[in-house]
Amino acid sequence: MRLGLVTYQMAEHWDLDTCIQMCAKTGFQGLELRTTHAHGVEPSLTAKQRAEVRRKFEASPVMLWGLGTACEYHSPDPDELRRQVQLTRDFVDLAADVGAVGIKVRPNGLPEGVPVEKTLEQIGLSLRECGQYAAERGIEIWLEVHGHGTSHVPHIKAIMEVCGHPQAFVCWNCNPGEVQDGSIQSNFELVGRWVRETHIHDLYDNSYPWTELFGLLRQYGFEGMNLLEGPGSSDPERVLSYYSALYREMVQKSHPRATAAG
Amino acid sequence: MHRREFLLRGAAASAMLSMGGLMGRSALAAGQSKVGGMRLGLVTYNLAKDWTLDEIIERCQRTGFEGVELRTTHKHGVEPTLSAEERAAVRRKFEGSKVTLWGLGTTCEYHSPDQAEVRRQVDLTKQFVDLAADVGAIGVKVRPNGLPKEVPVEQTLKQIGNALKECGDYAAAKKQEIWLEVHGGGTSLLPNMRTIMETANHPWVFVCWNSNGSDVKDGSVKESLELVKQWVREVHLRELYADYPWAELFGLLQANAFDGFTNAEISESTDPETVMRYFRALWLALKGQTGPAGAFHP
Repeated sequence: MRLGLVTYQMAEHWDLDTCIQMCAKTGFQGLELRTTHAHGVEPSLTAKQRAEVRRKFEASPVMLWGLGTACEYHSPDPDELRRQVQLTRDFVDLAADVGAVGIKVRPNGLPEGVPVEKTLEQIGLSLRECGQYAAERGIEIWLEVHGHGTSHVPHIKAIMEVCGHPQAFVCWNCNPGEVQDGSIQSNFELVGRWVRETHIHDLYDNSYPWTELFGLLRQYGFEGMNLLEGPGSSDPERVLSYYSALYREMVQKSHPRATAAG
Repeated sequence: MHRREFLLRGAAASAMLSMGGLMGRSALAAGQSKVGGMRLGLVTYNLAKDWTLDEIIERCQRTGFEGVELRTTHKHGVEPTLSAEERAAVRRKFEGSKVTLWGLGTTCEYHSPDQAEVRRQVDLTKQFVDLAADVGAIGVKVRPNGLPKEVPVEQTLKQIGNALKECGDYAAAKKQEIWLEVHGGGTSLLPNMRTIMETANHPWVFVCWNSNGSDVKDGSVKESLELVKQWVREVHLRELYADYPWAELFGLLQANAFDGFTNAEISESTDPETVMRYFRALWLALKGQTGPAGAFHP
């Protein structure tokens, strides 16, 4: 497993060169570029601009892991849903052009007045459609454990079962609600087989069981990216250097857990 | 047990070790469990050089730092010029907090070939010892700071050791420890530090391990630490993400029943509390404490 950085908040005002240089200096191996931020890797880029993004990463030790989109599929409005699926396809094309591994999408709530099961099925079917499109381009889709109601891990499991597509995965988001009696094991095991990336937060905050998470990831043979998604800092290089060193200590000291999935 | 009493018991145990040498330490280790274990504090040089005393205490409390070494010349202004009333106010601030006033970081040094200067430095040390006793600190940090070219090395080392002995006598009467920092061109070499400490040979005089790059040989500090480990009572830590065998150092200190303070001596930051939180988390991880026992909820 590797350490990366989500640009959301920490790097929202950095251009692409700064993102890459800061990661290279502080031991971060990959980047997930969030949409709407200063680095501007968006579907509106021209072919030439896309090639330039690819070239910057290929010339650096930092991997362009993914594109962090805000695409979501829970709306009861069919036009909005169609628009979101199309936007996902645009991001998949962009990811393929810039040399990313995949894109992150999300569920973002359970609309009132719509049966929960219906919304979960809609999200799962949309995700399947996106997965089919992405598979043709060799791009992965990562569904973030996100949104009011939808971040409930059994609901994520239901969505993934409906989806049933080998190119669709889960982005484990390290939400506080997952912790039961100090452990995430029971929740993690519901979706562990699909987890391909994680968003990790302040590792000094032990209200989340970080070493247990890293042990579970080892247990599941996780080979993806753990990406810091944290608040900005006025002393980012130093904070990232500490984060990187602490992450490595924690991963090194974590042990595979005995899980039901074995 | 009051914090002060707790720390003084640690001092007494360390003094026993110093007097008894390796045999004394082995006997203590066999017959008595270690008290407390190593703790984390902050040297105000330079992260906190522009903070008031209240800011220092509040930030240490918020970020889980247990103690502080107040460096002379900084904004907090805990200096020998303080009046009795001002000294009492400093003591009250710490007694009303969760933060231990571990020590006073002086720049007193005893290597000058000018004997009048050495006398001035010894007298200044005594003033800081008085101050430390008044404000409720555990001790004062002093340092060697070089080897004058025109003087034989052995002579300078002996002079520093003898000056330390005099400071130690004065400090012992006030129940204050003296910590000699591994510092200065030539003097920071561990064989020289050992010579100084053997000359001083005083149960209230200890070593402040300074985590210098020159301590490291073939990736290890074991050989260097071995030369002075019987006296190490305080440690100055640098940036824990930097290339120094921190985990090895912490393991060696723990194996040596070290129960003093390891104090972060790091540069200024525009985001100090985040840096302090990550420093503490990494400090816990490096000493093998990453689970709930190391929990800190901001």
